[in-house]
Amino acid sequence: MASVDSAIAIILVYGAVGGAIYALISLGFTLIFGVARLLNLVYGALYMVVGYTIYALAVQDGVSIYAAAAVAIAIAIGVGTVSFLLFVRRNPDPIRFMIGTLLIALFLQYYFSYAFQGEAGYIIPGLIPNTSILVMGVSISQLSLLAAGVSVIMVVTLYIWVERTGSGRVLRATASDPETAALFGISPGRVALLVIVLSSALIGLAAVLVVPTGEVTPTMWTGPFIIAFVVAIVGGLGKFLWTLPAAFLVSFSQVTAQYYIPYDVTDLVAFAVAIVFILTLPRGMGGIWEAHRVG
Amino acid sequence: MSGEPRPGWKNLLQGTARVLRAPIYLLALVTITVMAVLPQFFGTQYFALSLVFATIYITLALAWDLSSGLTGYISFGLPFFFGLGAMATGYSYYHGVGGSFSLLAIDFGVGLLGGLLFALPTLRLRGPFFTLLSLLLPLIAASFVVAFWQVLHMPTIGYIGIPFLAPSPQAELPILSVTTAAVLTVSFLLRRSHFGLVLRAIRDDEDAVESKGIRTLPYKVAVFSFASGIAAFAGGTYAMTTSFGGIDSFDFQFLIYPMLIAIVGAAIVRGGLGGIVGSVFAGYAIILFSQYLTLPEFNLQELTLPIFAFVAILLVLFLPSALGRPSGPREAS
Repeated sequence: MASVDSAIAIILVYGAVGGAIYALISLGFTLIFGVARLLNLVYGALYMVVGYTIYALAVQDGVSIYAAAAVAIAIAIGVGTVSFLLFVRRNPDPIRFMIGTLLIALFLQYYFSYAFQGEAGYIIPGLIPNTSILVMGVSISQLSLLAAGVSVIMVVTLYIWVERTGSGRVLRATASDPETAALFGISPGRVALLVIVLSSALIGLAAVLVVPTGEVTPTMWTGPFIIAFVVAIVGGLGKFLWTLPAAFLVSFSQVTAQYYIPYDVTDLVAFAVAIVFILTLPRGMGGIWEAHRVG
Repeated sequence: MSGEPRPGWKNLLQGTARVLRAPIYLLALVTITVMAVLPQFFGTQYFALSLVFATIYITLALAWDLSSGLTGYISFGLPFFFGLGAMATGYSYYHGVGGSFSLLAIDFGVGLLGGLLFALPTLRLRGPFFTLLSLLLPLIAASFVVAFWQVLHMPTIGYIGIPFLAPSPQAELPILSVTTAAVLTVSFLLRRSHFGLVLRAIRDDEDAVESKGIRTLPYKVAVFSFASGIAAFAGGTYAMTTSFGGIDSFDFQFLIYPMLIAIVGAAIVRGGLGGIVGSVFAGYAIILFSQYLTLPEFNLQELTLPIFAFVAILLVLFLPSALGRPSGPREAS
């Protein structure tokens, strides 16, 4: 095992970069639940859609990575929007939406498994070369750093938009009380649609930045789904402004455990964190903060 | 506990007998019997094996319909308990437990306990926690097996060489048909009992049920634990059919097919989810058709799952009655 200093450096660097990336992955999921009160289970599958689209366009057909990424994000937005329109506009039943979106995610998993010959993993190119640099003496890929940087920018932009602009106020009003918002002429359906488009774009962007550091496989959607779900629980379901601190807490827990345990326990740690929060603090960090502020 | 049955027992037995005279239940029982007998005289070994898988999926569908369909608390954790049963079979066998029925009894107990441990904390909370956590269960279980299979002394990512339940599919089918019929009977009786009435009322309006002084948590936990036990039992039979209890048992195909069967079954009996009996008819039709598609002349083996997932999406979209509330008279015995 490395020295204490290097252990701290490893945990700090990987925890911070991982936390920022987790925030980008989770932001859209918490946004949908916060505003539309819908659990969009196709969310993780959009990550996979982007991965396979980039592979098909950039690797198989030789299209430029930038064009492939743009098309992939557009397709992710299309799939997310169609899922929403199909299951919410026709019959706004949360159970139907949940079952329907899970089935779409599984359909996509099995379809990609069929179309791309099974479980084999594919490598896709990133927007920048996937080389590593040293940060505090710890080697980390430039792609991960780019993803972390973009994530922080997106979180800050979203925060300013939601807290400081008129359209952001509309979003908060709908999230807080859709019926009263409707009384004031706001269409909750349109706001929900906007949020679906936005969240699909966010997970698409996350995929463009993060997938090149790993492999494209038919089951790759489960990883971001687990992270998005756990971060949403830790931050407080619907408390989308708490995504960043929650993502950091999850990431640091995982990196610390992974450093000391010689097996891949990242998913198990994430699940354990979610269980602890559900049993002890079901309203999450955001709920605790609100209760403290009111009290 | 001797002498003449007390009036309460007499009423219970009479009520049970009356419920079991329901034509739809009898028809389901006849269907299971015919399907158990048919391959003994006609068809190939593949046909018998297809029917074996059909009974396993029907048992799973019954378990899902009983817990999620009746209460409205949708669980996506079916593959977890199915896989738990399959793994428990392998683990028990590797640690010296002999006899198929002992193994299956252990599976049921493990599933029951696992269901209880999961349901007790999560069903206390309102909101989507239960459903979301249940979806994570199979994913986490698969990660656990991949991470720790060597620590658990597994030969690979699962247990291989588990003894078969019977020497041939033809011999296995009657055994599984009897267990499926038993699960159907218990589920059907539960649905029509006072217990089932409370479960359906929870689905309709849980606050109203609690306002009548009925604590809903024990009902929800009991039915979910029982259904988890059944799912684990089905997982054990699957392990003894394929001779392998491992990571593939946590696959979401063990959610898609049972959900599809329950939804189509609900449409057949036109009662919405929680109708129980429809799963028997839908199960044979769907699983036999899916096995038919895998025959060499069609060569659609790898497309079967996407096709059925797509069909399930269409059903959820265009069959509003299938996901609706269970209808019909409130038959409390």
